[in-house]
Amino acid sequence: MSSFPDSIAAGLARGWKVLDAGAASHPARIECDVAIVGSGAGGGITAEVLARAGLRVVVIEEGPLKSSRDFEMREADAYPQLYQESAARKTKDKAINIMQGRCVGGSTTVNWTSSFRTPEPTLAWWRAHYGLADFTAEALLPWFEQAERRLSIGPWGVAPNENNSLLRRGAARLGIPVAGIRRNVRGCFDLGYCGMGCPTNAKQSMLVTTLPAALEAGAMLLTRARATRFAIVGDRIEALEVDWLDASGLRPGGARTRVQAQHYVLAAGAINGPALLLRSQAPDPHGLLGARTFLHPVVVSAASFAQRVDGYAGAPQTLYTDHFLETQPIDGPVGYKLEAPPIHPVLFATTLQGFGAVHAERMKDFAHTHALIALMRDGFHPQAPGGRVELRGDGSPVLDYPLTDYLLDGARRALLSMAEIQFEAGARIVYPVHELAEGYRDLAAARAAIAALPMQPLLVRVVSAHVMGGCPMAADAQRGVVRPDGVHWQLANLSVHDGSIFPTSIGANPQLSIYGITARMASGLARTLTGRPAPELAQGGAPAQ
Amino acid sequence: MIRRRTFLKASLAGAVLLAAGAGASWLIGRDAAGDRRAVLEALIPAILDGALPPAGAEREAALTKARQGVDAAIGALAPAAQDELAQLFALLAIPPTRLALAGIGRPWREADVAEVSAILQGWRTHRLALMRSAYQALHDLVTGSWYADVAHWPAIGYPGPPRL
Repeated sequence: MSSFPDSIAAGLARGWKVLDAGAASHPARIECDVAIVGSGAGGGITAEVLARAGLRVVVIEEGPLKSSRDFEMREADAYPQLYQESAARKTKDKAINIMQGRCVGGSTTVNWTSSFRTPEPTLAWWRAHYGLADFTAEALLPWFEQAERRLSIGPWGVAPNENNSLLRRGAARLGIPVAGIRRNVRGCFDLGYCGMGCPTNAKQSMLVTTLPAALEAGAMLLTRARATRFAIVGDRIEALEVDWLDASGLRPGGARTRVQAQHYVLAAGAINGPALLLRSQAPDPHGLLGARTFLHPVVVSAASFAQRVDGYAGAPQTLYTDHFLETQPIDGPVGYKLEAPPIHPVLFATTLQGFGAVHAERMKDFAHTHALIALMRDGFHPQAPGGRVELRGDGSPVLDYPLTDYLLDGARRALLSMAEIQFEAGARIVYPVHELAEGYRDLAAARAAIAALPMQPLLVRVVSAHVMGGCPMAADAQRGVVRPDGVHWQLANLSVHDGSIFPTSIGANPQLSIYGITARMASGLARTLTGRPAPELAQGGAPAQ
Repeated sequence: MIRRRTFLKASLAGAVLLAAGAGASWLIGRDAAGDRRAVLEALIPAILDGALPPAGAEREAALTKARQGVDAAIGALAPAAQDELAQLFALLAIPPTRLALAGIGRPWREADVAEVSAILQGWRTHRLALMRSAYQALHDLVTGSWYADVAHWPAIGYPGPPRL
């Protein structure tokens, strides 16, 4: 157990209103002003704004409440406890593994802290194609600044770990610019275990910022509580049916609560959110719900170096390059962002191709392994229309996301770009992560092999940690599920405040886009519901190291 | 030649059955844990070949622990994924579909590491995406569970998380 002060434990001791599935009894009905489904980036920001505006807020979270005292920096605990489907959520054909949070704080509790404002080319695309006129960098600036102050987002002043340094060294030799990634941390110890829950509370996730603020302001939090269905009558939601989960946290345990609110905010993420609306048979006159769901599909290149890389140690993803997003138009051949992820034993062993002696040999080289990831910017080209959220027979969601030839062409180019950087950085061997790839000892061999590899789903390994879209915002109902202010086009007392509102992918790690855009939406909603200006987000501390 | 064509046809039939997604209701009455155990006892030594200790009591203990680790990992998956895996293990355990999907006519326990490795390699690069996905599921479960275990960190030079 970490010996750091646990502000969640302290808050619970002070009497925060938190009701868990394991409680002795559960009320049949809970009434409030606003019910928020999901406690991640969008739900956390919204909860703070609305609770501090004086509204009675209830937050419904399907995952458990875990905090720094629980975060042991072990994958064996973290993946089953904190991630959707035990970090093994897959697209329908199982060709893409999706990492998404499922705990209080959502993905913000387990993400790797990368903070980017929404890139201007993405906003320009939304203005041109979805009529989102007030999505300009200028109009959003105060909202990004507010979120940045709240979450201590700033430059990372510590030297990058070797895994990131190799990206910089290799790229520099090719004349490719590399820049620092801003992070949402305060007093970070540079441990490198962000993905397993921050054990020192340095990461300014929703778990330690907005949700405590909302609870202090009197909000109620329901945990291990599944939002099963909205009861819809005409153009209004009458209630939200909540199933309390059993001890496994995987299945309904039998107890149910009906949450009745004046207004509902859906912030359950871009797979579970659209699924809740599908289960509720929400109006969808233009067939947009759950469609155009984006992933920033990621391909991976591993490399072996003579020196130790220790990719598990030190802050992950502190450097990046957008060079390969900018070498062609946004709607041209798919572009990709390059970053250097954390490398932990389970994450690496499962991602690495092969089995038996070959796999075991490469694992022995674990501490000398460097990895780069390429995040492809989907949603801007007719052949990158994203996927569609569907319901299984048991009502659970599954994302059908075909890997088109367009994306697979990007995968091939990205594997080559990464191999080139890795050889320039001094790699002894480069392993493109593809079932038919071997280790290559020079660029010529890698280039020839990558050109010849069959780029097919379930041969090239594809992963994702960014799920976006499915409830897009647009200036009219023909193009959007929600209005530019987040309110549903057909349901008057429903707003959507999460990554599902993005009409395309972001082209950068999405957390700050969600924070800034939903802060504006939540403030507008608070004004509508209270008739008063909304309070600003609380001030966070300086991003001290 | 005939044997190969029969095998391909049967393989396709098995894959279609897997793909049908008709739910796991046909498994009612089967011993799911027994199916899983029979298959994993054969697959794990091949997937972890090179990481497992050499023959002996230590190896047997490691294999048992590995299988328990996979069981625990499966138990944490979404119910729909657990159902799909139960179907996969049943199809691999029932003789006719075992023959169709893996091409072996004898019980798994009679197959050695070399034979099982060849089967895995066939699934890994199979022309049917479904067979590749089955391979990847097994790969991820077995390798993930193994390297989640602190006992296997020294072998890869991982010191474990820092002490706070």
